[in-house]
Amino acid sequence: MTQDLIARALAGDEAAARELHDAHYPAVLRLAYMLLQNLQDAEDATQDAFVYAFEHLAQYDPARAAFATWLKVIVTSRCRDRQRRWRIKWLSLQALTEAGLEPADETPAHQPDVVLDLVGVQQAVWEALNQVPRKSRQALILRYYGGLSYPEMARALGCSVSTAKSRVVYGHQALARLLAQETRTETGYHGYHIGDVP
Amino acid sequence: MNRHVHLNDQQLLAYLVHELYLVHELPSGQREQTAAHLQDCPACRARLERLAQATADLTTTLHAVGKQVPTTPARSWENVSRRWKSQRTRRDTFLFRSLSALPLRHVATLTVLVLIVAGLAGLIHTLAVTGPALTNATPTPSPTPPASPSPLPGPLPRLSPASQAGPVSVLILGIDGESATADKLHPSDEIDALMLLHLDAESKRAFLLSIPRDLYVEVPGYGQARAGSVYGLGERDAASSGLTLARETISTTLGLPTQRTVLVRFDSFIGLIDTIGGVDVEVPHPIDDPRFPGDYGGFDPLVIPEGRQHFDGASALRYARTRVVPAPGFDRAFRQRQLALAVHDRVTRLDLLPDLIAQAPALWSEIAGGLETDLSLSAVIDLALLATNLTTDDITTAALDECCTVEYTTSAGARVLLPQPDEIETLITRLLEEGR
Repeated sequence: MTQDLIARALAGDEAAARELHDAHYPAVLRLAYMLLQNLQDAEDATQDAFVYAFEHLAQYDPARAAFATWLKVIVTSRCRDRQRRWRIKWLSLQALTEAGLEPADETPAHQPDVVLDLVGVQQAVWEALNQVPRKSRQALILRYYGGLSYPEMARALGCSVSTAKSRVVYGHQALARLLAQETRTETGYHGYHIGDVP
Repeated sequence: MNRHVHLNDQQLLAYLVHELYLVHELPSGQREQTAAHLQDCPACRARLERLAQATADLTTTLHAVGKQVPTTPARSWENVSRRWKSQRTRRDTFLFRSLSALPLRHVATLTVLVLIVAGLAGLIHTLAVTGPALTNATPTPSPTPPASPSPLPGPLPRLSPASQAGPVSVLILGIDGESATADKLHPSDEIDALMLLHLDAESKRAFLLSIPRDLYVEVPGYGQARAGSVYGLGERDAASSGLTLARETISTTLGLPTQRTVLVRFDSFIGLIDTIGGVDVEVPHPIDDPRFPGDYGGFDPLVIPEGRQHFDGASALRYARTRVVPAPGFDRAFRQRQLALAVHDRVTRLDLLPDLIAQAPALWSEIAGGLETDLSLSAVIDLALLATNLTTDDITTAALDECCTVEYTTSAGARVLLPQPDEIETLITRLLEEGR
């Protein structure tokens, strides 16, 4: 089915391309939102990813990964490009401040712009996840939301397979530590600690 | 794995993922061993349960968040299809243009361009291998040749010239833009990088040989000097030319007939990378160089994060020049090889050709101001046609490094590299043979 749509899109069939886009758009956009935490940026990254995917459709190899996975790898890399630009912007803002100049009063682009309705455990986990260092946070998201395998994560994140693994393990440990602290601040979550190797 | 040693988080996680998702990521035998340990060990069993709970909480949280992200596929498709269409139109136009004969001057400009790119790509490579000058004590060598015979090995051997029907060698000299002013190409006459590009039309092979600027060479009619200063010796002598003297000297040193010379200014390299839209490079480790030299003295700290980076000309040059080594093997030589390949890749990629054709006049004027050569246009076109047929794999790279030189301090106190004729001959022979 997907393969048939891809073949037709490759031949220039726009209706088929649109069908592919519409079927995969929600999952790709949601992953981008998790990674960037800003809807506008996530939409831009998702569009970039689809334009790239349609242009390079001939390179997609169904033997290597599902079409959805291929799209997720592409959108992750677009998200990373965007974050790099933020960092550069942030650095120049910092330089401006250090030079004694006031930057224009502007909300940073990567502030969350979706009001989430979460309760209890999910609220605590989401808040803790957002405090996990970025690289490990992204690894956890790709693993448990994107459903990517370690080799796919490695491609999406531009790192080695063993780095991808260690980022996930580190992410778990950081998350457990943060949630253990939550318990002490009495947010209602029971909290847990996986525990060190005995 | 010893079944009596407790499991670490990574092992637990791998086992958990395997059990939960039936993902086959465990090495053979490890599942059984892990299961056996878990059976015997309540502590690890408890940790596994907590990890399973944590993973389940995380997964449900992420999906709960995902469901709340509003999606508007219709608006997205509008943008995607518009952008996709405009890309396709550009590609179709190019196909049409290449089928109907391209204007001859475009073909010529394009071929010139490819040659220059190949040369510049190699040049960066040279920069890497030659590295910093070995001494700061004698930055500009005396134009007067040493009067007394030096304790060098005897006259350098000359190989019998090979037939000139097929292969051709071009000496490429690189001069740093910082030492050159806008209106004059080479005020200091000191060459920063030297490279020999050897192209063989018959075998469709090429090699790029980096030559250290501190190589202490025998200059015909002048005695001995550093390779980097030979061009200047020739320029200051009314009776000769820097290009010719450098070419003859290197030709003699290598025992390899060299027909042509190109002198390029580094800052034209910046313009070139900008004109081709920058290059993409995978940076394996973050770079933090607080002592990177600034344009006007002092420091201009350089920070480059790891991962795939898109460099414009100026940042590519900084990436190539910084002297920090963040990880073993990730040195200047490595980075500059990466850039050389990135430039070659970008230019030979088909989807860039329409842009390059459109930009050829701009690109040419960008480069021409920083270029001096004794190549005729027809020779350039012949070479460029050959260069377009090569892939990165067809180009062997090598350096006259410690394999063929020994460090030496001259009587004037300059630290130089003495060429070892036998080893050089072996290297050149090997490079020529690999081309067959």
